[in-house]
Amino acid sequence: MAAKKENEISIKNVDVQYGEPVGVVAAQSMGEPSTQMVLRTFHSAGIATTISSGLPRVIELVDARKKQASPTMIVPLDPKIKKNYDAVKKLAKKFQEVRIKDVILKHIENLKESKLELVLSKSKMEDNMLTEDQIIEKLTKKFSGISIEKKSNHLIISQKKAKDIHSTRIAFVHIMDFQLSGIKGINKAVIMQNDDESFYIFTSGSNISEAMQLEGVLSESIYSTDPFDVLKSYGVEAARNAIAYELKNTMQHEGVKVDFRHMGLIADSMTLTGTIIGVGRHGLAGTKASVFARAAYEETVKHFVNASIFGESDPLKGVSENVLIGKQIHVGTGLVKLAIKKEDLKKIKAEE
Amino acid sequence: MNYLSSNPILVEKHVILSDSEADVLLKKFKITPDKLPKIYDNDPQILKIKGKPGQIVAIERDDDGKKYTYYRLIIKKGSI
Repeated sequence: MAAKKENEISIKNVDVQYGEPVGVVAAQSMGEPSTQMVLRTFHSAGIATTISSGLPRVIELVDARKKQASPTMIVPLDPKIKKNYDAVKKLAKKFQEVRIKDVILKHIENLKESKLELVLSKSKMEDNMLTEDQIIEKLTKKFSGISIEKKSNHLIISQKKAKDIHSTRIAFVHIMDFQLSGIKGINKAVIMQNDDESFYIFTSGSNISEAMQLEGVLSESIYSTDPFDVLKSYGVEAARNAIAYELKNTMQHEGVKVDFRHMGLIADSMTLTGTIIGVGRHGLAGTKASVFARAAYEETVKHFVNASIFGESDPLKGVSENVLIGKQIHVGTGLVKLAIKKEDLKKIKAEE
Repeated sequence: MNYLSSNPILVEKHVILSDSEADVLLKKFKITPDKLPKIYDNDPQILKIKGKPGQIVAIERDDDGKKYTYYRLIIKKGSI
């Protein structure tokens, strides 16, 4: 009796009633406002223009795309240097990816003699805190098959062994693309200011694991808009928060208000297995236990053929399979089953 | 935009439940451990607290000001 009373209380005191289809409510709460989002798109000025927003961004997050259109990072700084503009500027330089093609004025390819002539730009090198010797050292370290000659501000690179034109050309492309300094994947680092006059760094491109290593960065609180990057560096729980808050920010930016619990539920189910999976047929919808539910969604024939080959059975516990065969769905009041003792049933029948 | 005052993706502490605590939890929800959400054993947060597969971690969450506890079961990567 005590256990029954306890159960009664725990059922009555819940925020969401037992059997409530929270997933459907979440899907509709996100889906309805997103139909309005398409019609009015905002145009903002400055660096914010490069950030994808609106419905494409929501789809990108929900599909769990590995390659995002425009990931960004917000890097908080150590209290010691965050009010010192010069120190912050120096640090921001360490973020930005610098390649050979960023520090030269022009280059001349001579494929006949397999020679590459680079005209270095003094001002560009100074901007990125590099010297000619450093560049030469880094190049020789990376590419073993080349010799470098220095003539004033010209670097003449030639192959030690003569190769055919095709491979020479490929080697030159690799040299032009060689990364001299900075963090891979970050093509811009901008210094921004808070209300309390302290600075932080905003980057386009995301690479938390390398940004964490830099001195002067608060390594445990970098904000990134790329959930997979967050997953790699901070773990699945942080990735879940990243998805939920990115969805929230995107919806908020468009001027529609959706309760956070819906976004939280979507993010929760996307990270249920310990990693991020999308919502589509390759992700969540493809992991459903029921054959009918999977067949009702996409690729009907494929699922029926596979199910017949492997002899799958369907317990008919989900929603879509019960709709499909015309049974009551196990949601809300449909969840309740009537139980009756055999003797009682006999009594009723006798009375009739 | 002031993200820095409260970075929302900052992870709350993960705490490993003892065996008796785990028992109480499973009894409360009337489930087996495999019904819980999962977390890999090579997850950065699990490496920090040295969790082993089969243990349950409690995570104190703060969603938009609403505080609650979330549970995850540690599994070996690639086992599902």
